[in-house]
Amino acid sequence: MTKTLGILANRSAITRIQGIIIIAIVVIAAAGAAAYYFMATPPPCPSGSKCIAIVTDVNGRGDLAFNDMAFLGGDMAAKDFGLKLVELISRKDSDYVPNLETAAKDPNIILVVAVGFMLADAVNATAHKYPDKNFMIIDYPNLNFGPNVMGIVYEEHKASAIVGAIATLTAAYYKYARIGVVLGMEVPLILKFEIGYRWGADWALKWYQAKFNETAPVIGDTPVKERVLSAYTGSFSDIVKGYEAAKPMYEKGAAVVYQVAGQCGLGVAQALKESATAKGLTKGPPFWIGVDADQDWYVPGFTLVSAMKRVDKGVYLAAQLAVQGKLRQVIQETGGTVVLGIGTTVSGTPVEGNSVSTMADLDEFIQMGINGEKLTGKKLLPMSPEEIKSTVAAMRNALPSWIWDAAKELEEGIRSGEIKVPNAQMMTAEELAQWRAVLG
Amino acid sequence: MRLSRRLQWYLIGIVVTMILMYLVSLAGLGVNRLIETGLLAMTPLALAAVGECLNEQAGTMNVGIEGIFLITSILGVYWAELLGSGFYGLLAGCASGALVGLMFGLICVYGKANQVVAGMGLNILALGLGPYLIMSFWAFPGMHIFPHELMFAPVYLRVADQYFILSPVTVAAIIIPILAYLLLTRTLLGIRIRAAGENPIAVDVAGVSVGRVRVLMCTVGAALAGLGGAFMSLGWFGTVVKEITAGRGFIALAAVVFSGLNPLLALVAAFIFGFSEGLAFTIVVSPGVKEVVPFYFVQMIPYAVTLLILAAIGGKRFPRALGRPYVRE
Amino acid sequence: MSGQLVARFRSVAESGVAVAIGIIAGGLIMLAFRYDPIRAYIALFTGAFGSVSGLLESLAFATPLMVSAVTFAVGVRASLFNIGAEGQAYVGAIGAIIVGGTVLLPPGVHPIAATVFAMCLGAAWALPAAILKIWRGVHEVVSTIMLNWIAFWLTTYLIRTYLGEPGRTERAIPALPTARYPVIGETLTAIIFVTVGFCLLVTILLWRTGIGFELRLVGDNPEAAKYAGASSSRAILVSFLVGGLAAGLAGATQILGRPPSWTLYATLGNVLNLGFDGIAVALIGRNHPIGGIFAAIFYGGLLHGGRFMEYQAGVASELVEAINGIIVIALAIPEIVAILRRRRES
Repeated sequence: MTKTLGILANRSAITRIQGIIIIAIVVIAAAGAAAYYFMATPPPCPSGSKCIAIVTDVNGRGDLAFNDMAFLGGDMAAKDFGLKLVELISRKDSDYVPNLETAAKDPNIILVVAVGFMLADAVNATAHKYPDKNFMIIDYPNLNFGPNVMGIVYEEHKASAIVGAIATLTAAYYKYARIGVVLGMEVPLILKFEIGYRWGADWALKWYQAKFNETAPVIGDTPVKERVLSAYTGSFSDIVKGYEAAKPMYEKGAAVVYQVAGQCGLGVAQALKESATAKGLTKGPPFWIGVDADQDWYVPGFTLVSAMKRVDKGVYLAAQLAVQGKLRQVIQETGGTVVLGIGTTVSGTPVEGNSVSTMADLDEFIQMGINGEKLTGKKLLPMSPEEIKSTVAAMRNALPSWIWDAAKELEEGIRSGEIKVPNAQMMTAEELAQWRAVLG
Repeated sequence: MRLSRRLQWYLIGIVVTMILMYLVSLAGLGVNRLIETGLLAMTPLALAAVGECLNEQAGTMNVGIEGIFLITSILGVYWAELLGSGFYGLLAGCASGALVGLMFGLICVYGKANQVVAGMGLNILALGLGPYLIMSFWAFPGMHIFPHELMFAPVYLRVADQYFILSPVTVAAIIIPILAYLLLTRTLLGIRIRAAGENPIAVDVAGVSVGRVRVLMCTVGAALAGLGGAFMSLGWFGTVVKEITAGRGFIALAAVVFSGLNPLLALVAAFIFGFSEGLAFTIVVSPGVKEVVPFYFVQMIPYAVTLLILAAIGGKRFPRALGRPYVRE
Repeated sequence: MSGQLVARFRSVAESGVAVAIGIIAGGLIMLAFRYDPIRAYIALFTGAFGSVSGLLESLAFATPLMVSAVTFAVGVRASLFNIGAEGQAYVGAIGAIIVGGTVLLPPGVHPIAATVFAMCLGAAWALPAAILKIWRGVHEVVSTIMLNWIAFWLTTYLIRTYLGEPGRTERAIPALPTARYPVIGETLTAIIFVTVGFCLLVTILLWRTGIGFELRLVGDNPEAAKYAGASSSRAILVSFLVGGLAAGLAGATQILGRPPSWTLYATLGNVLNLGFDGIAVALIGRNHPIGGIFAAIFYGGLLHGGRFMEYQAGVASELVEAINGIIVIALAIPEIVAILRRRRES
């Protein structure tokens, strides 16, 4: 031993400083290990309390829409039911299983919420491994995942159809030739938005024809393939791509661009803002349509509506059922998948999941913005709440009432089941191609 | 620097592009907006690329541009909010970049660090630190929308009923490469910079500190990258998002390599990238294209075009002492 | 003999010092933002290595990293900056899906065939960069970045069209059960033996064969190599091909060796950043395949343990990435000192 040390010292294999540092590290490590045994590390979910865990997909928070809504629901549930909220952010796909398992292993967590369809396989595996744990996945049906998984899916296609109709009629009113949609990644879930939107545009033109006995001005005359411009950016977070996708759409005379692309939507809004500033406008046209959350406050006067998807309500519902102990029962009743949309019910109680934003929704979200500002002390809203509300109201009032009537008619038709909007999530490639041929 | 042959190719490229643009405008695709978008997308790339050209001419290689972009776009907004003006925010972004560059330069030159390693480390550090900073500055994960008044907004030029959006930073991004080129070719400092990269012994013998030149260029290079990063949030989008860079730092690096360390060519390369990205999306929404070419292939266009141009032009020799710390024997 | 041992010990010690500096710096940042660094680090390390399931999971994270590290490392050994592992891994994954998901082969043969095909595709994707470098002198930084992006779009296209799973088109066809490697525990499968074996093979190639010697000579001292009659073109080609094989294998591990999905998603989520992280791992492992194995285990532990840091100590897991970065920067410094010391001694 001494011989080796001697050789090492002679060959100055490690300088003295490095040697000291290494020794220091060993000491610190030992101290840390000792501290571990003597220190009481409170677990994130202390025994005696109940917690819900929210596991995100790789897009994570900060999209002002989908993921943030899930946390909103979790926060509200935590407040209302006295739960603690634990979050696990996934940075890569391979994080899904470890995150779900970490949550599943904790005995005090009563519900594990998986936010997004990307976690489907991971939920399947983990739920089978931990049959006593309750799981919930958003945006994915329960395909033999087990009796302990509730899959909540939404009817985004229906909401997209309604906003597509509103967009088309708005374009007709202001005599624009097209509308547009910027989407994120081309995955089945997002296809729902695209096909629904196009279908709604088609419905609106037929409605206009029936109501006014003439083709809708300008947009009605545009050939089908050029009526609804769409582009997939391939990302939910690259804001530059959202901007670059929307700009040519506005340039080509799109009256409204619907954003279905998470943070890319901010890029779409930027393209809109530039167009508006250049022409000195304070309210649309041109417009954009928000998604998931109520985004009307973001560019007041230019946000026509938002196609809301109440992910928060889904999380809240699941948490409520878990607290009440009724989750498994509802899973059994519904076959594992709960559909929240327009006119949907859960165990006989009507629970809506999708809607088109109203002024009341705007109030709700402005209030959340105000609370957020109080909490963090930083300015979140672009203008004062009253200004926002009055701008939005002015924009809505400037639109003729028949646009809103048409939207109402479509919504009621969907609600009663008379009108059926195609759901692209489970379509085969041929079906998709057929719909695309018809709708552009 | 042998400008003529490369410049020839680039001029041909520009003429071809102009012909394409004319055809594009005939197809109703709005050339104004395309150029606008191209210039905006070009700005951060050009600034970073020119900075890195200067850097590499002096013999240090900073591959951490991606990281600098992200950090300065966040810090720029932070300081803009603190100081109350977008302009100061841009300056602060520039200064933050300079600070990072200074530290990087000191580590590489006097710490004799492996520059590639340190640069990659910087990227990884920034990609983690960035979202962390957003969360701790603004208590909201992943993004931050700041008040419009704080933006260093672009200017809307109007001629008759046409308009054109141009940012002062873009103008700077065009002037700076020209200045850099003049610096490198016509000033004594420029000669010293190039000598520091090509033949540092000569510089040493002339009595000028090689280390000082390299650290200076590191700082300047990173400052320019910092300006580019701050521009993205303060001068273009008005928000900070955690993935505002999305690999563009590496595209800037590619532009540097592509240009053979010539600032003018780097500017042109940056424009080609920015333009083709915008063009790709414009093509995607054009009638008749979508059915024939799936949008995936349209998205590949900027990268494939670059490869083809590179294959045609061929590579260029780099300064001999690039990447190697100078040790006085 | 003892000289070699001393040198290797020095290398490890230097890496150790760098890691320690990184950890301490990370702790300082945590303190600056008012987190408890000790609690966080304890959570990180006990979560990643303190339990059997944690260790298995860390190894699962490490599996692709040790080979994508080889791509960068074998490039550095030939004095190349090959950052094409990203794109090559995507293409390798596609290869694994094609043979693993669409072709029927007997069990035992199937995983091997799929792995080999994936590796070959990875090598094929490395070829354009190699050819451009050798014939046109194009710097591999640009060519590999461009190829990475082209691979991204090509792969997503293939997943959405030809390789999509009918009925669940957000992902590609999963690897058939006969093509999957046996699961060891958690998400770790036997493919780790393949990756470790590959690293050993590359080590043998680099230090015990003529080609490997040529490669290293060209990288270390191009002038001497020329005099010795070594062909730099061959060295570059070999470096890129080996790198491509490695990256293809990395991609394959996520298809044939990673439950529960056994496939690629349209978002490419499970193969994204394998190349980028591989570079960091290669640097920590001092550009040596064996070092890369240990570095990958360490890095995998960091990747896995990060969630515990967040879960138990409330620290954002992005900070783990920041710490990785500081470690890599800290590693930059000793390496040159080592090279200079060697030069002075020789």
